[in-house]
Amino acid sequence: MQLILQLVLDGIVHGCALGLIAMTFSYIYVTTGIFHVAHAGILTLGGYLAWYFTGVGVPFPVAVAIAVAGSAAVGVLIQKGVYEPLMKRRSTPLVQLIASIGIVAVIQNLLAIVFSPNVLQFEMLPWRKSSLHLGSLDISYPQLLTVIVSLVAALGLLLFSSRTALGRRARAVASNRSFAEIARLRPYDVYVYVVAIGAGLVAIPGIFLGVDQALQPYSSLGLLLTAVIAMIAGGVGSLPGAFLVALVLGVLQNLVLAMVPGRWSQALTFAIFITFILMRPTGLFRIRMQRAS
Amino acid sequence: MNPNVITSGGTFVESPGVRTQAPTALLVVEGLTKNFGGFRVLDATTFSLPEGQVTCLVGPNGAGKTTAFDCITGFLKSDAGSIRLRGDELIGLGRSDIVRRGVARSFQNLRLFEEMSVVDNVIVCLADETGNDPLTAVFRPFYSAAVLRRKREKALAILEQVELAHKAEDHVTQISFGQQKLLCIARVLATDAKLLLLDEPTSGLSATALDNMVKVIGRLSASGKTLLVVEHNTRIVRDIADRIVFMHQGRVLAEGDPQTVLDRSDLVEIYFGGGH
Amino acid sequence: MALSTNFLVGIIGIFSVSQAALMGVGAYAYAGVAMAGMPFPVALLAAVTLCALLNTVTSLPALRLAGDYFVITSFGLQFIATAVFVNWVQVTGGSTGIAAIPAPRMLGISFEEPQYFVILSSLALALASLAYTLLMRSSYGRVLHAVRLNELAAGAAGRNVLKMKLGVSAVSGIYAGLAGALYAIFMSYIDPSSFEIQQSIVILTMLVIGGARTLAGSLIGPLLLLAIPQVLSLVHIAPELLGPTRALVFGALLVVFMLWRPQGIAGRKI
Repeated sequence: MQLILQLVLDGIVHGCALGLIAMTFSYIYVTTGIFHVAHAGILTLGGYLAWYFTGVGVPFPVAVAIAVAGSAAVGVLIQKGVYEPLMKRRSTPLVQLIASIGIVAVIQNLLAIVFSPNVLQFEMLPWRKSSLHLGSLDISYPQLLTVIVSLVAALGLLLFSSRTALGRRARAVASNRSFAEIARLRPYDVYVYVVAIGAGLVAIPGIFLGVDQALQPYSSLGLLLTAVIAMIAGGVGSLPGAFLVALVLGVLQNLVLAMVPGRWSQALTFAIFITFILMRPTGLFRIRMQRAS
Repeated sequence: MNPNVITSGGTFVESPGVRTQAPTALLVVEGLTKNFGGFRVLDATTFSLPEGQVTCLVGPNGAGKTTAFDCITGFLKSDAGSIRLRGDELIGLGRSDIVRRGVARSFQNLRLFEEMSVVDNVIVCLADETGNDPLTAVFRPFYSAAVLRRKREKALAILEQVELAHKAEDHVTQISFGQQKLLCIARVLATDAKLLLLDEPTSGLSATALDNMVKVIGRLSASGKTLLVVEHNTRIVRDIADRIVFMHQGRVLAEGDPQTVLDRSDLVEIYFGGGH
Repeated sequence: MALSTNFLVGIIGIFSVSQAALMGVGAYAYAGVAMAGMPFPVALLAAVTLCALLNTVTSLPALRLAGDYFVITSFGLQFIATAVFVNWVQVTGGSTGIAAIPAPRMLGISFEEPQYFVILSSLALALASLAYTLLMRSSYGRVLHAVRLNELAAGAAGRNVLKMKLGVSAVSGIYAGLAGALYAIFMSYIDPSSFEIQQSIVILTMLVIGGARTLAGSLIGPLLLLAIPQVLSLVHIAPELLGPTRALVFGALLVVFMLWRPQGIAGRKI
């Protein structure tokens, strides 16, 4: 029982991080219509940036801010440099996807070359090993921070999308791209903002997962895939749906750990997912899958 | 059911009974209903197509003509009703099965196989399925080549019927719009179907191409095919149609010979008044 | 191998990123059967059949789902396959892999010698290319092409689109199985890392650079990519960074080609 509860707790932590990844991916996908696999690259990048700046003596919160800003900047670069020309040329979703896969490969391998292809730890942060005791349960400081920061960021994204003028403009663009162009909503500007925001926010789980566990150049694709699964199961276009399902998936993946060895757990999620989308391609909340056209 | 007297929406439609012996119905559509998110596009649509005749499906935009096509050919699932081809129910069959039963269609927006040549467009549609599997292609290459030659001959003969044989090797994007429309007819013919559903075969054609298309449709009918044609131009309808099915808001308002239907002032009002 | 992906991506319009996984299944199947002492043709047949079956079954979701869903399933399958290769230790040897895979022996010739292996693999490549050409030239190939160009119209022509797509998956599986078996023979050692998602990306790069949907493209791509490690060896790079550098170049090539020449060197529009 004790073990199960601890696993659920770890699962919630993991799920919050996943949730933010799922939400930001969903946000970008719904607005731009691009299957932004490169999101995984930015996720990794965020962690490494924070590691580097903490390593050279910058205080951790500042390093986080730099990492978020840096990731957002890279997001802008990707949108401006790659996606925008492709969109303007009306290339097929397949071409956009392949380009995105190319970007992940570039980012991940660049990180592997600059830093190291091996696992890195945030050793300079002494508090990463200490933890809070809640009765018989343990929650480490990095875990606690992951939950708090992810929740705040997720809530912020929701508020931004529904309450601000720019957020509403983004939703207008998402619902009808060709109309947006006519209505002078300047969709290409909106795309840049949306990708930048998504990229900046996805740096957060990248950093805190890194602090909590470790940094690895190549592990993020699996995470992104789980997040995408959450997005679909939660109903494409529903940001809270994506977050909630991600939370559930996080807990499930951790519980599965109690029964089967590590690498099976992710495989099991995917297997369940494939069966799931065969049965119910519209997601749990019955929102129709909208494709970029 | 007597195909000449149809009740629909409470109105009785009398057919003048020009033909003394009514030909048997090849296709009978009864009570066909289709909803799109609460909007009833087809509302108990009922009509029949006598064998060997050209029936024109007319009505204002949004009357449900193309939707009826989609339901008959299995491109859409209807919500209620029946579609019987010589008594056999077509609802529930897959698209390709319906074609094999003898009902083929063309599309309003052509849907040609671009990047392919004119003759290849026809070859792909031939009813003859021999050689359409990977094993034959790889393990019996000479036989496979012979099959392809035979299919080519057949396709060329079909192109001859629509006067496109001289363009056989051209890319579909290189021929004129009128020729592309003729190619659509050739593709439908290639399926060997008895019943051809043509969705606006004359729309957007120049005067000469139009005359040519009318001629081709006449020839198809003469060769014994049954046709259902969506057509907007009433002059052409009078030219080609043996019968008319008039649709409005998903219902069949009238069914009968062209003269009678087109002379009814209430229908003309609906058709040209367009929603007033 | 690029031939196999070419089949999936180009001809029928579905896109798979799990080709390396499938090739891995072929390699493990060949290794397993060959290690059990079975003769070469039996092992080859086992690898090819298993891949064809597996690819047909796993492509079923794709046939029901829109394009983007398929991409996710195929990413998912890649991860599942890697997990199986790593964890199913009894069969795959886990992360240590399988060593000393016997080379085929036929007509008294052992293909262990490099020069004989070259003959064997060239022969396989020639046969595979010939089969591909025959397929594409036949009326079957034309129907495939038509399905890719316009699925609705192909259905309206009475073609069974589902059956066509399943057929392509099977054929593509056969090619992947063949490639996997040859790989196992050539390396005589296989482990999960050879069939990871990075490898799938390499295969994709070959295809994209050579050009999708043509035989020439799927032959040019691999040849050009073979040259890249040679070029890299001229620059001074620490050995442990060689892999990432190569992958970096491949990724950059993908982006560059998509931006400026999405049809590749000798391909057609994708």
